[in-house]
Amino acid sequence: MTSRLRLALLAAFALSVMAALAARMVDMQWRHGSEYAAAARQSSVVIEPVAAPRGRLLDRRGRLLVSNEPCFQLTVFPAEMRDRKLTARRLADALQVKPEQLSARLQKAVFQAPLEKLVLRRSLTPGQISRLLLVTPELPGAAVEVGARRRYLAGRLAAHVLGAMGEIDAHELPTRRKLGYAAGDPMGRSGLERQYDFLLRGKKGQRHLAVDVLGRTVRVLEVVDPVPGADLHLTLDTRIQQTAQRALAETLAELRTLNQEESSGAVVVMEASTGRIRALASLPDFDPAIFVRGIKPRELDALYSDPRHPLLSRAYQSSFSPGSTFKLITGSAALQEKLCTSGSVFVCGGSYMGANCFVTSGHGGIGFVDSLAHSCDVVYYRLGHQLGIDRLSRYCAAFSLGKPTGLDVPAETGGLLPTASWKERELGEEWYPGDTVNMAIGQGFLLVSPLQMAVATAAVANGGQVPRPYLVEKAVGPNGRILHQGRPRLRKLPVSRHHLAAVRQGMRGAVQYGTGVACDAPQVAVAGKTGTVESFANVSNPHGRNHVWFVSYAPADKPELVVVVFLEKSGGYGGSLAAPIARKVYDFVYPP
Amino acid sequence: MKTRTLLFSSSLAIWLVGCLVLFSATRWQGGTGLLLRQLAAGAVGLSLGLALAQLELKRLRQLTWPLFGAGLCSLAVVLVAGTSAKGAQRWLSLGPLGTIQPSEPMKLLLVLALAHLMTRFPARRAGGFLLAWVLTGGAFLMVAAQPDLGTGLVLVAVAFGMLWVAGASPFYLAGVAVGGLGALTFVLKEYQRDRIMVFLHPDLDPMGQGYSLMQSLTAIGSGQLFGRGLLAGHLTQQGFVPENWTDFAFTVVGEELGLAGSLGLLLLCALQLGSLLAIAWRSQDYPRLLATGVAVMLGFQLSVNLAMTMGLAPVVGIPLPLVSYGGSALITNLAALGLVAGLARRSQPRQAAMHPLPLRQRLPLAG
Repeated sequence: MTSRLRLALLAAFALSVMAALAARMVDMQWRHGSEYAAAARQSSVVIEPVAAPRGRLLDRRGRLLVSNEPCFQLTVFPAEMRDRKLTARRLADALQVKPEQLSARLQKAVFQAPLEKLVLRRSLTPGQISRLLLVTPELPGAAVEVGARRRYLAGRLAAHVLGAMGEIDAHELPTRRKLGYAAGDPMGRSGLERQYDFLLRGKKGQRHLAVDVLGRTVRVLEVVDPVPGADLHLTLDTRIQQTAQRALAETLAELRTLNQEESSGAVVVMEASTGRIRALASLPDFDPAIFVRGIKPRELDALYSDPRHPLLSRAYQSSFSPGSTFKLITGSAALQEKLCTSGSVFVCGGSYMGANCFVTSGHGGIGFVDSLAHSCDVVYYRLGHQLGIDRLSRYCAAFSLGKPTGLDVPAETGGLLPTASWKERELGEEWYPGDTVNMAIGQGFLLVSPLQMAVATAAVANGGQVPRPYLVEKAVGPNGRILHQGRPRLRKLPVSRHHLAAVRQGMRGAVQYGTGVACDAPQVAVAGKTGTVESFANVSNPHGRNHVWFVSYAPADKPELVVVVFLEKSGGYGGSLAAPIARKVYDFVYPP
Repeated sequence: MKTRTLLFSSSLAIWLVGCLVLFSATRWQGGTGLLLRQLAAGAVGLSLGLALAQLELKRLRQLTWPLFGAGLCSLAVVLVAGTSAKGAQRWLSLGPLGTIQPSEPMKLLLVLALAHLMTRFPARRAGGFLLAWVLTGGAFLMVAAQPDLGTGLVLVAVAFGMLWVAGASPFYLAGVAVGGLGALTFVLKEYQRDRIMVFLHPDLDPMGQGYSLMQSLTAIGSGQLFGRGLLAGHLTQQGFVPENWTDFAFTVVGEELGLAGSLGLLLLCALQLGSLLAIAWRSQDYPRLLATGVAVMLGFQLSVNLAMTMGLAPVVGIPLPLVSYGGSALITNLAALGLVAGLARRSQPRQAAMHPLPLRQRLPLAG
């Protein structure tokens, strides 16, 4: 092989390489050029979201309950980050957390949304800020920026109702993406913050940035201003809420020394004719601010594993036997079904079908009104037995028991409305007449929430309108436009007015001379009904302490407010423990 | 057209394209500092090329060993006292004159040394073959230790091309190729292995190693038929293609000048290589080997660079000759081209003798 031949072969080889390169050019720029051109348009513009100020929460008098305050937050722009492990380690040192936590989040961000700014940690403490400022200049992409967080001007007041903030959950993100949510967005986790998140969050703005390869902004192409979230004007009255919460807390503190055991409780204050919630207290509660400053896993565990479930509202997220307060429903149903009249006189011998009256010696001859006032069980055993489970259940449903009342909060409990078919399905047993007898005085299977009892009491008080309770009077957008208007929604109760008047007479009697005299305020005529739920000892209630109730309204002749008090595992009686709490609320609203 | 005219005009055109690319690629950063430095380096390179074109071959052969030795020494100094960037130690500081990258002139020095060696010890014999590899291996190790695998590969490619034309046994060459590939897998640094992985699966790591490649592909492809126009490339003008003034310079041509510009540049390169090989064809022995070596040196870098920017080869740090920013490389390439143009003059004694004009005017190439 001569040298020239070898040279010719080399030239041929070079030519074929050139041909291959030319073919690749044709393929990329001609055949697939438009696809690459489309990709080029995307990769050069970074869309940086601009957070919208979250709407505030105000009480019915315009007093601020929740607003926003500036805070420092640590952000990372994943595309700009050079060394992920180093970045995670240095930032973790400054934050004093484990590097693995950050590293995993950073890695996810790099692969899933490299051009989206990630808020790695909100609400930095002064110590964290000073340590971060030392390391961020050496870590491309990481920065300490000013953000906003929730500020709770009323502290723990109505914490369950107002709700806690958090970040959007990974499993919620797919369904909410089309609503404009992005990973890491703040979002209401509970209460009104969650229910009205779509109004409160506003609309994020956008800055379209032309960015170079190092993530540096070359120029701002377009700015879309954020739309602030709507302010929620609530039906809550801060001062009534404070009064109710304080009265409840005082009683619980007394019970703690008395019982050597933690009890819990709820107070519902509602406008009788409209369903506007004036106060919705539940204890134990929690401090919503800890979620805002970045709750530590240990604190969250403690909240979740606390046997008293401080994150749950006793007022609408838990249900209990209504006890004797249920006699309002049994009584109304019996009158409507003509099993008795307001003038009927019954005989109480102390027991009925083997079930005892709580006055074991018996009430003797007793009229319908006094049966409520003195809470005679035997009368209602008899009436319940005569009604039967089917009619009784139907009236329960009519009074809005056993299903959510429709309050504008998430995760409201429905309670439990038993029927004959329910018992067969769930327990595999037929419904015994004894079950009905038990249920007629609010023991047994039936479970209701304090809020449901408030709605039922309101229906009795206002003469047969079952209100749907609500918390948000209106939501006002940034331009003053009303984006949501709360309106009373009333449903007709199938009990005639004069029957309800007899029940009201019994309730007034209970406060004047019956079981509820503890609530007999001189300045305002209160009507009410006590309830005491006898409990068997079990794991969660080792001493078998009673739950107690007091449902009430005032003024008796022209009902304005409904006040329902419930105490869990308090022991004692509705008249002795729950009624005085209601009295404190009435004393505040109608000062002596 | 005379071969050396073709060589001169194609090279000049490629260099002009390089200046436009540099201007366009660095415009978004503001300032024309890099362009001015590149023009200065070009002036130095042209002068050096002119001088080499005039140099007697005998004199050149005398200078070969001292120059090669100096090259190796400077590589050694780089390893000891060089300036680092991006995890490699490749530059020597010259104080106010800036920095030089001794591995670039080493490419040309190896061509000179191998051509000199092979005319003394024929490559078709085992002894000559081995000696050639001793030289190449020494230079390769010094460069690869920086580490700069790209330049090392250029050295090896130059040796292969020159040995082939010098008549080395294809079996020996094949043996070296197989052995070298085997050894390479052991000495590859982690980032070099990563690059090969990324080449095989570009979407593996879109923000790291794969990012350069994805951006490069996008920029080139988005140029479509006629490009977005000079200084109007979407990605180029906003700095979206990393290193688009050095290794990824072709992306600027691809995006702003489109398929037409890309094929045009490729055609210019083909003409340049063709004229280099034509000069080799017409020469004998030492000059032929010199021309072949320069052709392989430029052709290999050009092919690998284009292939890597278009995703046909792993990302290795090999610049596009006369286009990528880098003074040392530019000076080396211009010097090499001047040297071969000088050979063209000597290989055509009849034409030269017939020419009435003085020598200086007959050499518009000047390097």
